[in-house]
Order: sequence, then C-alpha cells, then structure tokens
Amino acid sequence: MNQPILQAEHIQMTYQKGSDMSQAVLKDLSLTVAPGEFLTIMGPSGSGKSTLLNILSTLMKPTAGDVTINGRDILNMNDKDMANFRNHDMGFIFQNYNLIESLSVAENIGLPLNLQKVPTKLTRERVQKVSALLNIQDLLKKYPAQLSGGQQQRVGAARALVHEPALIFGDEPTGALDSQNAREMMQYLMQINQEKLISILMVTHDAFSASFASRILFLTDGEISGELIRGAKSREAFYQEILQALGNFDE
Amino acid sequence: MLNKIAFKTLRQKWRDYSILLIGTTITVAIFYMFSNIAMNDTLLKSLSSVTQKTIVIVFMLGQILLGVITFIYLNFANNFLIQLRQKDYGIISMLGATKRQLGSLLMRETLLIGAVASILGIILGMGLTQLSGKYLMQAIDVKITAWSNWSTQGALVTIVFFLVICFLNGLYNRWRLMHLDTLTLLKADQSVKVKPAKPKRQFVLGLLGLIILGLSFAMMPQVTKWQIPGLVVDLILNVIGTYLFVGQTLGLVTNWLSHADFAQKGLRSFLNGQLRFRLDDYKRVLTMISVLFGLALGAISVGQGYYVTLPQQAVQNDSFTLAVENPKADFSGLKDVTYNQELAYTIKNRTVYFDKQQVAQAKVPTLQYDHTKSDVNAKPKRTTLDVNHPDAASDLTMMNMVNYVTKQSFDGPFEPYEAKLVDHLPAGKQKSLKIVKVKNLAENEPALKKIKQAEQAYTGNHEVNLPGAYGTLVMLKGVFGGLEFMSIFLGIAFLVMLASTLMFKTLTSVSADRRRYEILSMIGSTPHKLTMTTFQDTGILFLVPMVIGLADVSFGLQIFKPIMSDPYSGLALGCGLVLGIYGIYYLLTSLIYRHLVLKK
Repeated sequence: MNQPILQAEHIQMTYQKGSDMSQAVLKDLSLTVAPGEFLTIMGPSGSGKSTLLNILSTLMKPTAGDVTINGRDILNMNDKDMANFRNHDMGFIFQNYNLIESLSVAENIGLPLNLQKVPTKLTRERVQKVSALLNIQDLLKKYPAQLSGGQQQRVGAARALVHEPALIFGDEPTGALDSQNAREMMQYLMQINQEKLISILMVTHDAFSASFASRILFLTDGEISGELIRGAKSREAFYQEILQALGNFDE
Repeated sequence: MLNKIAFKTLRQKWRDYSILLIGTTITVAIFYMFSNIAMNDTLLKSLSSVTQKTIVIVFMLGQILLGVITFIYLNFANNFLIQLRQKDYGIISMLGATKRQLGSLLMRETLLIGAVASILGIILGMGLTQLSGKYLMQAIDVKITAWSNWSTQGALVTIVFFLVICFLNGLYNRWRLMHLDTLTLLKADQSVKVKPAKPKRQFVLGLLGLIILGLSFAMMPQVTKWQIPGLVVDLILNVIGTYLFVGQTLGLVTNWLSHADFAQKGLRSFLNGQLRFRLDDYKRVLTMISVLFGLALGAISVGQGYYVTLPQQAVQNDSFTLAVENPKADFSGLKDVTYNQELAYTIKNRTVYFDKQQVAQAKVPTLQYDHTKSDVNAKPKRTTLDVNHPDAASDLTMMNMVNYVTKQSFDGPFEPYEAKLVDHLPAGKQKSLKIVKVKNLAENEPALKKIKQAEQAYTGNHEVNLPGAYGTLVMLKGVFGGLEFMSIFLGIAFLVMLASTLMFKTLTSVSADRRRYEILSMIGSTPHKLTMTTFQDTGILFLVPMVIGLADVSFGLQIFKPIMSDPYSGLALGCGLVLGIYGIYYLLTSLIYRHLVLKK
C-alpha cells in the first residue's frame, strides 16, 4: 500500500479548566488518510471534530501525539517551514468562506500562488483554469460581497485548489449553504477528488454532505466510534446507510 | 445603572478610549499652557507694554484656533468611538434600552472622558508650562525668577472650555444615535460596502483631482496678489483637490496596480487591495489630515523661519549695532568690530545738539530708503550721513539716538525732541554716545547683552530700547518670540490631533482586518511576512497625508515671501519636529495594530 498522505497517531488534546480541572477533548485518537481518499469525519457538536481538524491542519498543537502529512512531521516545524508547508501542500475550505473582501475574486484565488512567488502570467493561467473547473470564470472581477453564498464557497474551493495541494481540509464547507448549493458544492469537491486525485479531509455534521465521501469516521466524545466505507455503493445507498448508522448512535 | 455601564465600558475598552484620552489630554495640556501664559501676571509685569499686548493677543488667538480644531478633533474621535461601539449599543437597545437612555449613556461616557482628560491635561500642562517657560523666556529674552506653572484662572478657563466642548459633542453624538435604528446598529460590522466600479467616471474625477491640486499649488506663489480672497479660493481648491486626489486619483493608481505584474508578488496584491478597499472610507479623514499636516508643518516652519531670521531683519533695518551712554562701556568682548566712534551732545530746551564737525569726521552710517518704490521688502541703501544735507539732523539714525538719550518710549507719550547739528555745542552738561557696529550680530549676542545690562545699570532706563540693530533684535524677539513659541506648540497640538485621528481610524478597522490576516496565515504566510505587512498596511495610510502635506508646505511657504526674507529657512527645523512626532505616532499605531490584528 502507498504511504498515507496523512497519518495521525495517539492524538490527545486536553484543555485546562482552572488549576486542577482538565477536560480531555480528544482521547488517544489515530487515523490515516490514503492518497486520493475523500475522508469525512462526522460527529455532533462538542464531539471534538473541530479541534481534530484544527490539529490535523496545523492550526493547533495537540497535548500529545504525532501528525505526519506527506511524510513530514508537522508538529515539529518552525513557523517559516509551517507557513511554507501550508502554502504548498495544503488547501482550506471554511464554513464561512473566509474570503478577503478587500480583494477581487481573481485576487483571492491567486493569493496562494502570489505567496509562492509564482510568475504573474502563470498565476493568471492557473486562476483561469481552476475557475473554469468550478464554473466561476464570469465572477473573477467581482468582489466577495457581490456574490451569493454558494458562489463564495466555490471561490473558496478554487483558492484551496489553485496551488494543487496534496490535501484539502474542509471545515463544514456546506454549513452555511442551502441544500441546492450544498449539493453543487459537494459535487465539485467529489470532482476535484476524482479528477485531480487530491485527497480531501472534511468534517461535517450533515449526513447528506458526508454521503459524497469515500469513507466516514464517526467521532463521539473524543473517540472514534465507528466507520463506514462507501465502496461500490451508490451515493443514495450510502446516504441511507449513514442515516441508519446515525440512528443507531442516537439510541 | 447607566453610570455603571458607562464606567464599565470605559474600563473594558480602555485601549480604544486611551487613544482618545491621550489625544485630548495633550490638547488640554497645551490649551492650559496657553491660558497660563496669556494670564500670567508675573510674566506680563516684566514685559514692556507693547510686548505685553502682543503676547496676550498672540496666545489668545492661539487658544481660539486650538479650540476650533479641538472641537473638530473630538467630533471625529467620538464618531469613531460610536462606530466601534455600535454593536454594543445595538445589543443594549435590543434588550430594551430606550434611545434616550442610550443617548444618556453616550453623553456620560463623553463627559467622563472630558473630565478625566481635563484633570490629567492640567497636571501635564503644569509640567509643560514649567519646562516651556524657560524656553519662552529665552525666546522673548526676559528673565523671571518667580515663574509659576499654576494659574487658577487658566485652569478654570481650561476646565470650563473642555467640558463645554465635550457636552456639545455629546449632544451631537446623541442626536446621531437617535437617527439609527437597532438593526443598523447590530449589523454595523457586517455591512460591507462595495461600490460598482465606474472606470470612466473615476478616470475623469481622478484626473480632475490631480489638476485641481496642481492648480492650488501653482496658485500659491501668486496668492498675495489677490489677498484674502485669493487665500480662501486657494484653500478651497486645495481641499477639493486633495479630496479628489485621495478618493479618485489614488483609486486609479490602485486599479492600475492590480493589473500590473510587479504588484502581484507576495502580499503586494493584498496590500493594494487593502488600500483600494479603504480609500472610499478614508477619503474624508485623509483629506482633513493632509490639510492639517500642511498647516501644522507650515505653522512651525513659519514660526521658526521668523525666529531664525530675526538677527538678519534687525541688521537690515539699522545702520549700526549699538549706541550707549555709559562712558565705561566695555566693547572688548565684541568680535569683528567694523565701526567704533563717540559723539558728544548737549541737551537744551528740548533740543539735542551735536557737533557738526565731529559728526562729519565720525562718518556716521545711515540708511537711505527709496520711497518711490512700494515694495516693502526693498532693502535700504547703506551710506554715510551727509552733514550738509538740509535734513541731516532729522535723519533716521540721528533721531534714533536722540529719542534714546531723551528717553522717548513708544509706549508712553511720544514727544520727540529736536536735533541740531551745530559748529559749537552750547554751554551745559556735555555727554557722549558711543556707537559701535559689528560684523555678525547673532554671534555677538551674549557680549551685547552684557553691554546692555551695564548700560541699563548706568542710565536706569529699562523702558527704551537701545538704538541700533541689537535694540531692534531685542524688540523683535519680544514680539515674534511669543509667536515662534506659539507656532511650535500649536503645530504640535495640530499634529497630535491629526495623528491620533488617523490612529483611531486605523484601529476601527481592526476587527475586519483581523480576519483577513487570519486567512493569510492559514493559507501560508510566515509570521514575519505578516508583521511586515501590518507595518506597510498602516504605513500607506500615514504616508499619503504626509506626502500631500509636505507638498502643500513646499508650495504654501511661497505665500510668506512678501513678508519674510526667506520663508524656507525654518522648514528643516519644522520638518525635523513634525516628522519626528508623526513618526512616533506611526510606530505606535503600527505596534498596536499589529498586536490587535495578529494576536492569537
């Protein structure tokens, strides 16, 4: 088997609450993302999924454990290497889009490439290409505030994709979208995953969005409590399976 | 309850309010200092009445100017505070506070700030008066042993003035708040304004801005021809030009930059985007600050320029340096003496008699004005007094000496004696005047001061200025020293207010900018790069008014050409002071901004 794109081992995260009280949010959690995999982590609020995503995506350091992405130990990197790593190997898609509203759509998408000092001409070409993929080529001159939520999220996806990272992280990417826009967004993400072979790791509490993934991990109280693999099933069948699994958890 | 909320918010938001507090405190301090000087009995008593009147008028004028600017400043500052606080007010209002209660809350906060700033300001002002007193005494060349930094009258005037200003501002704020509904308040920080781009309109207006600003610069050297109307028209053109330049011309530039290849590297596109995004929001503030920057630098430069050219002006208007009655006057301390003679005279029947022969031999230097020319700056011709000329006795130089020896003060009843050049001095008490001229007046000032003190001890005459350039210099210092002093402090007060306004404006955008910087960090900017970017981000905002202000002054000083021999002589000193203070503000703003925007 290929070397995993992401490997997390024995992750623990404990928050200090006062002097002698502490709360364990993540308890000895391990997981791997295989190359080209679309992994979704599902769990109710308070299950620790946001904390897990923040740790895996280098935004937060765990109390204990190891995280390796693309063969590199991300917990022992200096600021500069870390920035460089985020810039080259990772892409982010956020629930609230996180576009910079003082920049036009084209500038927002091109920003990761600017940071890499990619020549301007090449940046333009790649922005064009990725926006064609996400069907936002007509919006390039507009500003985020002039776009609908669905459009903004597609711009966010384009920005996460433009530098062709090894792994894209999604933090509830459909959380602020209506069902129609959520469906479109997930279809785009699936397309990116299948055509560009970019791995995706996404957290969500929405079963519909989760059904586009190839594998689902359920997180309860800081521990992995279950796993579903789509395999050759249709998306609809997988969706039913997820709902059933969630029903079982509730009982 | 409202008092409690008002007090608590001040404590919570101390960082935002501390900027307002510092700005106001410094203004109060300078205002108090001006009041103290204008009402300082010890100082006023030690001055001749001409100087006394000028000093009081100069400082009162300064106070009025300061008062007007303070009012505008507080208004701007309070406006930003309301912007910062809109959401809080929205929540309070949603919970059921009436508009009246909200207004009252705002009023209490404003008055509280005013009261604290007044007290702190007066304490700071006392220190400032103590320190600056020495400087002022040097500038106007008087010595007071009992210089007091406390003036009850001054303190009262200051407190009343600032409380009234705060009250008026509070009223205005309340009125503004009443016109906003709860929803607008609540959503204040979510509304993002995007103006549809109108490239053609922007191009025309941008070009127009450049032209109008250029026109106002071009007009400045000519302004004196059209007097006050010219000045007003030029000022209006300058303000409109600056406004269009900041709002439109710079917009054109940033648009152009967003297409230029070199402006895409690294975070340059982000910086450019920030500027483009802010211009619309900042154009009014930046315009005001550009104009104030120009005024502050101009005031300091002109004040300094006047002061440093005083010896030159004094020499220009006198034919010799000094004349004294004291027979024991010691000229040995003077350097480069170019003329040294003694004239005998006798006073009889309201007439001062000189020996014609002696005057001719002494070759008394004098000045000849050409009255056919109307140019006030025309330099008089330096000649030797022609004793055979019919008006020789009433020559300017002779009359100066006559007025001095007969103690004719311009302050008191001025009844000049007559002067006569005769072959033989009439019988009576014969005295003599020693006349001396040195090459460099400024260099000889300390020695001349000693001679003056000895002369005053000999004659007991403290009221009448010594004839000659040195006496003129002492008089000019009395009049313009106060002006120079005030120009510096007025300039500083302007600068402090404009810089803290800019600081405010920059800090109001922190919450929005924070998110932008967070995103940058997530997509892979190094902390170092982000820090540099915050400095550049605030730097651009400080740079724009500075450049326009410097240009304003470079051209604007031309206005003073007819009344100053070299209007640019004080520019270097002024620039040093202004850029120093401005730089400190920039650094402070950047550091606070960086801290707020990048903190984890």
